[in-house]
Amino acid sequence: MTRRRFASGIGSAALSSLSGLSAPAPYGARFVDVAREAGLRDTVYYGGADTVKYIVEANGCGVAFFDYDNDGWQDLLVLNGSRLEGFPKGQEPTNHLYKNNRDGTFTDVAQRAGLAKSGWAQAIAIGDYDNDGFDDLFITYWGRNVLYHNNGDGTFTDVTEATGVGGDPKRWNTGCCFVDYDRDGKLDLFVTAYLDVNLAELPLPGKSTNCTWKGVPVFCGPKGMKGTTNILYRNNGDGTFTEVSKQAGVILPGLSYGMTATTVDYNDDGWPDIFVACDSTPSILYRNNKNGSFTDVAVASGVAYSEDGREQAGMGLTFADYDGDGRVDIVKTLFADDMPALYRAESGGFFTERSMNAGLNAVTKHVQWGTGLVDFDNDGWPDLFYVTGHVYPELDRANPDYPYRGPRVLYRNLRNGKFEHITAACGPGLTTAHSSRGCAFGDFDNDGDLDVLVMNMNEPPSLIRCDVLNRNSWLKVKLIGTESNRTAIGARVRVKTGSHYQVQEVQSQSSYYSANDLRLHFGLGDASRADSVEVRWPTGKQELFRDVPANRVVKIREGSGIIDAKPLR
Amino acid sequence: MICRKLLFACATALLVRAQSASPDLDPAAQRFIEQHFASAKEAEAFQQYPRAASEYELILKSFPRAIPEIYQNLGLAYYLDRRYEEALGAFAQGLKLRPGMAGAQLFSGASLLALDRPPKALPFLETAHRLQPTAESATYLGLALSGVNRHERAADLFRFAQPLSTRNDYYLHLIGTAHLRLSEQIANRVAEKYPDSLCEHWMTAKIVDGQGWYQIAAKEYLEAARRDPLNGALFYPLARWLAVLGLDSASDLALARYKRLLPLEQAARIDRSELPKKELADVGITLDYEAALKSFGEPDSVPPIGSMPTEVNAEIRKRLTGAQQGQWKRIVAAFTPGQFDQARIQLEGLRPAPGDWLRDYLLASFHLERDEALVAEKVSRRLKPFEDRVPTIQMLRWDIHRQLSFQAFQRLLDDYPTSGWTHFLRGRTLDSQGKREAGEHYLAALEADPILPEVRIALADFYLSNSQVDAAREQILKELEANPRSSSAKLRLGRIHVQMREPDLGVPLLKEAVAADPDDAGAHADLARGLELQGNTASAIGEYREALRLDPSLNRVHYVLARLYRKAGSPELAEREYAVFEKNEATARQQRADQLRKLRELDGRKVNIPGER
Repeated sequence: MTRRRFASGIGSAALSSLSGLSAPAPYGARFVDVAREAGLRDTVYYGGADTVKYIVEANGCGVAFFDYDNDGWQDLLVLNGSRLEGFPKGQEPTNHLYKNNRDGTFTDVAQRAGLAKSGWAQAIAIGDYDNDGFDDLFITYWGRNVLYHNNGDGTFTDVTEATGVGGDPKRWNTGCCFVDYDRDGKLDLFVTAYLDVNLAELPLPGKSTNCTWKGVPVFCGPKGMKGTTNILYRNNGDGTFTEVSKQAGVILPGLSYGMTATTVDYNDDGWPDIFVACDSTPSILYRNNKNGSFTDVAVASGVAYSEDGREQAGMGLTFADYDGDGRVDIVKTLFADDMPALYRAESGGFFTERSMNAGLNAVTKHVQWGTGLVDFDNDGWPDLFYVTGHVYPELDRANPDYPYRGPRVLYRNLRNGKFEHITAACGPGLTTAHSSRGCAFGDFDNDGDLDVLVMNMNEPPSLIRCDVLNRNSWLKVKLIGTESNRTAIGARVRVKTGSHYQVQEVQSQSSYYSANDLRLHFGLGDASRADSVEVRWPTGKQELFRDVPANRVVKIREGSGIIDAKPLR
Repeated sequence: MICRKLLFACATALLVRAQSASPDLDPAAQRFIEQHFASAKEAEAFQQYPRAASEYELILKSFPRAIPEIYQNLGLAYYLDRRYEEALGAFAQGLKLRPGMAGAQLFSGASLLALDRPPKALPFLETAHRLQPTAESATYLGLALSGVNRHERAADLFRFAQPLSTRNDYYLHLIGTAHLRLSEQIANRVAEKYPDSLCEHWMTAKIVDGQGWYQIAAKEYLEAARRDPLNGALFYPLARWLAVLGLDSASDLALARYKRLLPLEQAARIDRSELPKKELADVGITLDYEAALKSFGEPDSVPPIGSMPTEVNAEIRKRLTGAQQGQWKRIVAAFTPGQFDQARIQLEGLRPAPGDWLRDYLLASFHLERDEALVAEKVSRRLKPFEDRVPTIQMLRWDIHRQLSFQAFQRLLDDYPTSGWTHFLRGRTLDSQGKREAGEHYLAALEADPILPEVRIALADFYLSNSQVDAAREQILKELEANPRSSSAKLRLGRIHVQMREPDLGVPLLKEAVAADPDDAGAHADLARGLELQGNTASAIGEYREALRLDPSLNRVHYVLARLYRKAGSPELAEREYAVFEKNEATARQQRADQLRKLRELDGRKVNIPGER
């Protein structure tokens, strides 16, 4: 440690003990969209570009950072949709798997990999369901879902039929996540759904109740439409799954509109719970009863409704400890005329909504989608990021107060329970307007920060490169389960620097229908090391590592400790 | 609204009369009174109401019982200075001495109206109008009656005042609104008492028909027709909407049935060239309207009056075989276009038997058919004793009030296009449709008349519904500037402060709003939230409980109470509240699901999913 760095260390400790009372320095990161230069030029088709007749065209799909070939470089998965009128044969848009060329560019290898499927793709879950060392893919559809087995050689095999997880081909499946709900070391699978929609029943825009918005005729729903049920598949360990929805207690009476689904141990009891963001209906928080069943405790926990008991929209989800109290908090993205719901974790598994107190009401006219509590500037405090985009393209003409395209919104964490809206100061990567849906966070260029991959409706995706402007340190933690599932979905990592704690979990889906880089990223400020890294594995085992050097990817294998700790480049 | 000149002219006349009626006053006293009275008059002429009030107070201090009318003048000065509580005090003193002072009665009522207390205003205004019916007394009384949802009499009073006033646009607005509220009351009663009935579906059909929701209109007419397949009045509009949806075969079937039930309507046709087409999603037919229409079968016989509901025709059939059958046969025969007058004369010539509603029903229908909605309404009042057991009477009265409302509003729009009231009406209509142009019309209304009541509050609500909190706040503050007593404004401003986490600013305002209207459940809930934010958990719980007592349907309050109980360390109470909340939510969800299930039972088609390879 140099003298200069040592001096900064003292100053930094003093600052953090003041809990952010001093005026914050300028934000330490800027953003630029490098998608085009990187080779991400294929349009993601999703419904009508200028008018949307049906709700199925409006919700878009997810994206993922996904190191499919285990070469240490994040590849990109971008799902695709379709149009009601279809496409000429042979020209149907497909999903894209962009292999990282390690030089800032990517090559689409979807065809070669066996992932070039067409359809109304929805969401992604990533996890090694057979524990063979290569992360597999589950993609939901409006239609039959698909489970792809990663063959480890750059290709995938559709094993849906063999595994039994395709589901009803008429079902509008949405959020999904791998979760080892019974802690047997094998990843099980949870799938939610949005609406039970039959196009033949739907009126045209404006031709019914629930078919206008601010007086503008728009597509109908979701209010007034029938919801559907959740599905839980138990991994049999032999390459097949068994549906256990009823026994697990996750079947609903068809009245929720499920969107993003993710795992989180909300009550910190070591068992994975499941949170489902639901649109216009109460969100669901399934508490794991530890006996193969779940109980929906969202209402009692305070996360089902708004603070005053009203139903809200609910699209994207992100989890992190925004206020440094050691508990994982939740952000859920909402509709226009609302601000994201920030649920602060209290003791006992309860949450209180703190959105207004946190200052998240600076921007309310956009519909919010993919989101992340992400430490872009590596100062140790997660900032809040989300993408926007309205669902009604007709609004641009009829009511410019609610534009169809919007910015990516960034709130900087002020370290005192509050956030500051700083979008405009962060560069065109954020301010350029798009109508976006899914977004994922990962470090594609391995420079020690977090970049953002974004799905844009009827445009190519954005790849927003984050450029950190300070010298803050960081640490990435990659977990490999042995008794636990290999991907370590459900593992909780707590990093301590000085008196400051950060907590994150490994998840197979979050944001909106998307999947993040599975290397957990922690900003360490100007610390040169993490005083401790504590891992609680999905099976319950706990391991503690002290004095972990900063600015490297630390690979930890369950039971074997840190097996690798290399700088990224 | 008040003509101040007239007001004080009355007051002067009263004073002169009063002085002459008080012979006990010696010349010095009279001079004293006249001197201060003159000063008061001078102050009033320059709208210096506090000074005027001081002069009256001086008189009353020296001669508290000599001239009761001075209390009336004092009260008026306070009233015009918007010091309504003080006005009430002054009027009360005067009325103790002379209860028959119509002005004091009138402006006691007006003061209570200004304080948003219509129930308390009513006795004063009833007395004032009885003692001295004027345009003002009728208007204030009408407003108070509107405030307690007695719109029928309110409408009568507004009509009474209308020709006595030069503000015809204002009265058209009042009359239209009163009839609109009456139609809403009836519709809500029908929906509650006769869910899923002919009347409920028919009313819904007519409402969505007017809004261009073609698919729903067609479905609702069909649902109404299922419940009364011999009601010819349903089949022409059904035929029309089916033509709009491009379902020509079904439309032809509906039109054929219309002609079958109304044999004299063989020339009826749907001009498809004038209709919008293909308003249904072009992925296929939804409901099998053809099958539904065919399932009605051929009617055994043509009803006596094909355009009437079966309930009415059943009564007619009884008459056609009863004691007055000859007369009824002539009436039925004349109930056709071109002979309506004959039918009317025959009906008016009938002496109705006790319990007979049919005569007046047909008379009212006849007048409504002839665009004589006001006459229809007068006749329909005689039907009120029967409406609870004859749903079609409620349907008719609903239709009549709808027409009257429409007529008044249409005249307002046509005859007074630039009036503030016209802009307000346009704003309210657009606002109810969620259209952003509503804001422009509210602003135009204020430009036309900056002191138009209700507009600023409506504009503030519009802004709030569009998340324009600052703009809403600005309008509310302007309203408070013009009317510092406005509890509507205080309620809204208090609510904004609470939502912005400024409870110390919001709670005092909300307390005033609650004091002004203790029965407003929402105000109690808002105050509770403010107290909660201040950390005053016990008081917050009390206010939430009061909100629930006043309005048990505020289910979300159970949710919030649960949170408070948990915070206050009462987990059992929290669990109880959560249980109630979830039970009510489950019931509401089940009701929604049942409605959806009914809609889905009509269609069982499978759909291919497009776009999948």
